[in-house]
Formats: sequence, C-alpha cells, structure tokens
Amino acid sequence: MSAAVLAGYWPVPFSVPSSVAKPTLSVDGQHIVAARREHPGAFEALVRTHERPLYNFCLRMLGQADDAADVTQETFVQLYSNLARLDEYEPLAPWLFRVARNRCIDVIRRRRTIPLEDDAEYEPLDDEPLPDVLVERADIQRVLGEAIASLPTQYAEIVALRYAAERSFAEIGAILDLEEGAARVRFHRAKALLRRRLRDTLPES
Amino acid sequence: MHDNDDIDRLFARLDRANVPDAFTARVLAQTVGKTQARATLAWPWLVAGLGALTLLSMTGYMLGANLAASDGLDVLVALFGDLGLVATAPGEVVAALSDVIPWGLVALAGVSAAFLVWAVGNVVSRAPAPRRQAA
Repeated sequence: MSAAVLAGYWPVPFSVPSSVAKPTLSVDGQHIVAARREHPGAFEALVRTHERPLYNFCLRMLGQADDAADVTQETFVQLYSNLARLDEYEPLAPWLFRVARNRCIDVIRRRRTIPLEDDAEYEPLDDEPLPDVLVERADIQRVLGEAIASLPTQYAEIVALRYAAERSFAEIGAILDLEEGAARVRFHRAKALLRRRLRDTLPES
Repeated sequence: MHDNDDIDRLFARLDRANVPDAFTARVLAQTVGKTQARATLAWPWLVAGLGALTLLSMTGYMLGANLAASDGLDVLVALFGDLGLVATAPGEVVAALSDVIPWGLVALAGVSAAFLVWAVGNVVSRAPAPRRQAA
C-alpha cells in the first residue's frame, strides 16, 4: 500500500508548527507559575535556589554582611511583587542579579557623599604572575575581599559575578546588558587591575 | 586571554558565604507570610461585616414596621409635607417625633451601619492584592 493511499485512511496526526510551539518551562519557570497560584513552597524553592549566589554577589559588592543580607532580601521582595509580570520562559537569575546589582549601586552611592573619580582607565595594568607567597597568606580571604572592594564598581561587579556568584559569561552579559565578548574583555581588564591591587598588598622585598 | 590563570586559581579559594541564619524565613515572612496574614485577617472582618449588614437589615425592617404600626409614618408624612412647621412650631415637632419614633431602634441601626462601613473598610485594605496573569 502506498503512502498516498495510507494517508487517505489514517488520520493526519495533529502537530504544532515549531514557530508557535512554546518552549518547555525551566524549573524556575515552573516555580514562578506555581508561586503565582500561591502554591505552598513554590516561592520558597525560588528563594532557596538563588539566595546563596545572590548573597555572595552582594557581599562582595558591598563588603558588609548586614547590607548584603538587606539587599538580597529586598531583591526577593521585589521578585515577589513582580511574579505576575515576569516571563516564566525567561531565565530568572539574570533578572535577580540585575535587581540586586542596581540596589547595590544605590547603597554604594549613598555611602559616598562625594562622587569618586573613576581613574581605573588610566591605571597601568599588570600581567605579571603573582608570587606564591600571596596564596599562602593566612588572611587570604580578607585580602581577596578587599581587592574586589577596591575596584571601581564596573569591575567589582563583574569580578563578584564571576568569582562570588559563579556566573557564566553569557549570564554576566545578560545581567550587565553586554555582549558576551564585551563581558570577557571587561573581566580581563578587571583581572589585570586585581593583579595590581594584590601586588600592592605584598610587603616590599 | 588565557583561562584559569593565577588570579582564577587564587579567587577559586574565595569563601562562598552561607546566607545568615533564618534568612529564608525572614524573606518568606516579608513576602508569602504577609499575603497569608493579610488574607487570614480579612476573614474575621468579612464575617463581622456580614453580621453588621444582617443587623442593619433587621433593625431597618423593625423600624419600618414600628412606624407603620404607630402614627409615626403619618407624623413624618405631615412633617415632610409642610417643613415650615419646624420653623413655626419647633417644640411641637420635637415632641411629636420623640413620641412616635423608636429611638432605640434608630440608634441600633446607626451603630450597625457605622460598624458595617468600618468592617468593609478593613476587608478591602487587608485582602491580598489581585494577581494579574502574565500575558
């Protein structure tokens, strides 16, 4: 029996054209939909998924645990207020980090009564490897934290996103509204600045 | 641009801090908990409002029945038909009203109406905000 004859007997299976087929929901997307319906535990699942990387990002941006916790909490409160407006098919993490980043910048601005000049563009970069003695320092955590905090905001945020929140360059680009390549370039420059700041912490030999 | 250089290796040692104790509970209290508390608190006010509405209906009915059974309606019709009486014989008007109007029922109706307004106001302000569905 030919295919043409078969087609006359068998019902044509219904298929959705790929252009209108909806993508499958991510786990976050499913939780957003459930949280809108006030499903118990759905919003808590969103908080538990994202709280640690968000908190670490804020902690490295702000340098103070209390401020970081406040900003992270405000970010989740904003998420809750915006549940109905969010697109559940879009990744949630970049949205959360964008909100947290803007709030961190607000806090930093409030702290600085006089706007600081961003002189990083004129700072000589450093590509020389760091000595091993730095890695062996007992106060390495303090040194690393202070090195990030000493960077201009645009570099501190990209370093915090990469090292503290462990985001990919694609995500960092989405958060900072940059192309992925531009995010890589900015990160490279941030690392050169970091290297210089870290070398400054070493005692003169 | 080389990946995983000395800076990468150094910052791989950066501590990833845990969120503070009870952080999740604090966030939930500020979000889900608030909505639930507001919804829970709205129910007693809704019941109180319905009670006040029932009381207002009953006192209104009894007030009307009382006025119909007595001469009260005739007095009120005469008064509204000639409002000049209030100016010409105020004492007579007050005396007639105080005789025919069941002031206890009027007071009860007034109190239940005021309570109804109060309860409805609380139901509206405590009810959770309506959620819009995403487009």
